[in-house]
Amino acid sequence: MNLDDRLRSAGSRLGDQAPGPTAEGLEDVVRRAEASRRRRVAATSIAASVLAVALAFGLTRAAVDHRIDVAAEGGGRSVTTPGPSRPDLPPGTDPDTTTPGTHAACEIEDLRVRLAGLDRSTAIDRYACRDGWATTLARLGGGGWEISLFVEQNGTWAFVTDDPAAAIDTLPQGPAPVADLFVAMGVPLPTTPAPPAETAGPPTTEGTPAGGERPGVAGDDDPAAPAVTIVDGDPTTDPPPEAIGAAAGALIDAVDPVNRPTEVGDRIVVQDGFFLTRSTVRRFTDAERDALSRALTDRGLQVTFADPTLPDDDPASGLVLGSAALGSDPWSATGAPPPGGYVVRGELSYPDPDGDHFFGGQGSVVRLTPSPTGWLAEAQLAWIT
Amino acid sequence: MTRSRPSRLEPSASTTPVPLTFDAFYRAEYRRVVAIAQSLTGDRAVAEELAQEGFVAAHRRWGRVSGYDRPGDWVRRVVINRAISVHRRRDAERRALVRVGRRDDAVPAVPDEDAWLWDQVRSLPPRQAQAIALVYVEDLPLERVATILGCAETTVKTHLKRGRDTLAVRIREREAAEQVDDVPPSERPGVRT
Repeated sequence: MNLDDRLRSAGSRLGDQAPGPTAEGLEDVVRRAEASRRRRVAATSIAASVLAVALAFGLTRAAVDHRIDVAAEGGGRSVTTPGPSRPDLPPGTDPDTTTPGTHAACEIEDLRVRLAGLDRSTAIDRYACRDGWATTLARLGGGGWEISLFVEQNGTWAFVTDDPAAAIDTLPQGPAPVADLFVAMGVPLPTTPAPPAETAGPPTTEGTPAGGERPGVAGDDDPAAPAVTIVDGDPTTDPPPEAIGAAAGALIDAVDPVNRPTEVGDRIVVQDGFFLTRSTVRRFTDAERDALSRALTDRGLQVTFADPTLPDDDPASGLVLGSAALGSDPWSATGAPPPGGYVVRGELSYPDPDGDHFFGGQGSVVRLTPSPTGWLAEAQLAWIT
Repeated sequence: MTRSRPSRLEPSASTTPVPLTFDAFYRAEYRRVVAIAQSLTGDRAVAEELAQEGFVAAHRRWGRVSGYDRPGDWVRRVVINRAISVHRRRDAERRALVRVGRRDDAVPAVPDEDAWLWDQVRSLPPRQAQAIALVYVEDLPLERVATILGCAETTVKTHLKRGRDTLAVRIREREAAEQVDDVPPSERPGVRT
């Protein structure tokens, strides 16, 4: 038998022996696909709700949204403090009327209404309001405690989240001292708020500040945690290409080690990038592309600049599994960058080391914000699949 | 830099719309997709898991994939790419172990001779192995293989030729070794009694 016939016979036998489809298999496919969709919808839904109130409150989208996916991923985190005893209050805190600061137009009764409407609790044990933000500590019917965060919106309180970690992580630390409110409520903080980036370490163009610690990173096993670095530059002008490179490096460093290309010859595809400003979208300049290339090659990765016109998330493109098309996810082109800053999105994807099917890195985002010491470059992966 | 692709798995504007349910699609394509995956992985359970993953991907994008001329080719591309990916394979193997642990059906063994041949196919460069699998397991025409692999038909021919050449050499070497084994030691060249 010649080789052709031999291969054909072997192939035919393999096909004959292959199992047929089953109802269970079909159910498994549908269940997994639906679960995948739900994860994405949950992330989008949380992002939308938090953004809605934040934007209504006059905050920029980029100021709050870059960790929202963390909240979505952290669905398993407890939102209650254990009962039956009340958490101890900090010294000097009035347990019944804790009101550090002012709460202009909204009345606490509105909070009770909101909570009743949300069917979350039967009673508010404590509340704290400050600068248009409010937290409540409510006793749950089944025991335990629940803390919720609200924001003042058109004279009423709008529910934001009941996940303390998400609240602290996603909401701004400055104008609305959410963490302070939580402390005032006597609720142990689930995570330590990120220190101001300016104090995180001396300026560096590497992916991590000097000293090794990455401020604001919830943990190396958290794939969505952003890395932060400060890059010298004039914040009144376009960010220097080095800032792009530094942010890309930070992105690489922030990636889940499991998904991070580590083998010799690994490549990273850089979707030919967009710079987003408030009103314009433009491609990377050559200098910016060079800076990106340097940042990636410094980390042992080969760089390919891909064609951004090919469809995303489609093996037919063979290029990028991710959000290549503007407007395809919550980080759409309509999202405002930080004041005076830039958002670079959908740029980085990780190819399988030995194939051209890509994984991870969907909605990769690099954010550049002017700071007193230069450009604050943050990067993260919105989703890891 | 723009990467040109000679063939794409895109919907055809001239195609008459034929309603295709995912259910029917799954039932029609599953067996052949598993066979392709098994030829490239050498493991039935992993092949089934990879096929499932391919169909999950298709289900998530069914609105788009169902509009393609051949949605099955889309799934095949997903599966053959995943089959050669170290990371994807590892994940699939983990899940396959769980699946296998839950069921009690016996997996028929691949005949030894076939198993050896597929081992050799898998040891070829990935593109050659994929081309051979698609041609000989599925008996697909070169034009479709080219579409699935995302390359030109001539490239497929090149992959096939190189793959077959390598396999032919290995088969000859094996047969030669077996002939030597079949000859009594006393009759082998260079052996004096």
